[in-house]
Amino acid sequence: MTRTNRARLDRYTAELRRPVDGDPALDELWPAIRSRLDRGTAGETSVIPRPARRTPAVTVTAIVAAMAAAIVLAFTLAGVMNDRSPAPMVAVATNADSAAALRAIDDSVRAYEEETRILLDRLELARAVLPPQAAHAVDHDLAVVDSAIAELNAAIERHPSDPSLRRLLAASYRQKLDVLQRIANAG
Amino acid sequence: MSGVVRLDDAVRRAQRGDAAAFEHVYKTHAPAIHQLCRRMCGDDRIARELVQDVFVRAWERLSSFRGESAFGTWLHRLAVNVVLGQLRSGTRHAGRLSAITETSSAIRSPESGADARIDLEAALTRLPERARTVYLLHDVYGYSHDEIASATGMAAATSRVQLWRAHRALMRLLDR
Repeated sequence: MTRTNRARLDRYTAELRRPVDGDPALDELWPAIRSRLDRGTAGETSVIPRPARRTPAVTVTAIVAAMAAAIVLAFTLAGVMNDRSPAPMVAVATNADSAAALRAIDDSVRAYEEETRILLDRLELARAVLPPQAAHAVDHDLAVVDSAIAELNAAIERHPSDPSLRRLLAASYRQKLDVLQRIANAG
Repeated sequence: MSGVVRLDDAVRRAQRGDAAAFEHVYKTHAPAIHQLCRRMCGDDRIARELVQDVFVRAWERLSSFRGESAFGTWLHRLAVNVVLGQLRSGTRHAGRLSAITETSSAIRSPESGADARIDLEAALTRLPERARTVYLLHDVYGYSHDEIASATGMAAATSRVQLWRAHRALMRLLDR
């Protein structure tokens, strides 16, 4: 993507941010909306009772389960992560097109991969003692991050010279480690 | 509702169940919500159905609006959730991307801002759904990648990748 093309896209995007003009045709939708609001009310009044707010039991259960999972995971991981070394710093490329910058980013990615692998090995040991809900939450979160990393790796294979993808990959690993560290710190 | 009514007052009255005040709220915000829905789903007919869903949902949830953000911001986020829900369910996808796409070939050299807007909106309809969603939410509506991740369920890193893809695809489409 050249700078000229990018500037053109930015100019177009700025157009989309401009406030939209009113559309009188949208007024035609109001009677149908009003009808839906009226539905289920006893009388034809201008003041319509709204349904009372309710908190579904399943939501409360899910929140409690999630909190419990986070607490359990935090205590579990605190034990296995306290002795870990500090996370490696991501190299910031000042000249994205330079080979040196690409190598620095790749080094960062490799360091994060190693750090993550060690943590995941430990997590696998700890996972055995986690309650099922906590284990499921951990598996889900890791699957989401891993999916993003896999997608990035596939994109890098197709566009190996694009430094922005490599920076994104390094950032993804950093996020994964940050999440694990936050969980440990929460304990 | 007659006369000039302050939107804040209208929202407060609507929260107390005043449907006429809610109509005023609707007429103020419907254009922006319709635009959001049309851009995200790519079909004007579906967008109009979604506008109705958004305002019915807003009515049901007005009591949860505490005034901590602007009402427009609250409504916009609610609309994004409604549209994403529909996109996930896929129940209203038939016939999408028709009208705007048909006009795209006729517009090639935009000079004015309006032409640029039409050209890009046409190109948007050609994007894969996730890339289009991320581009709109991030570049046009100012959501962060973390916010997009929270709304869509994708990882923040995936959101970044989708944005990169959207930029790349849009440039190709606009260069044709």
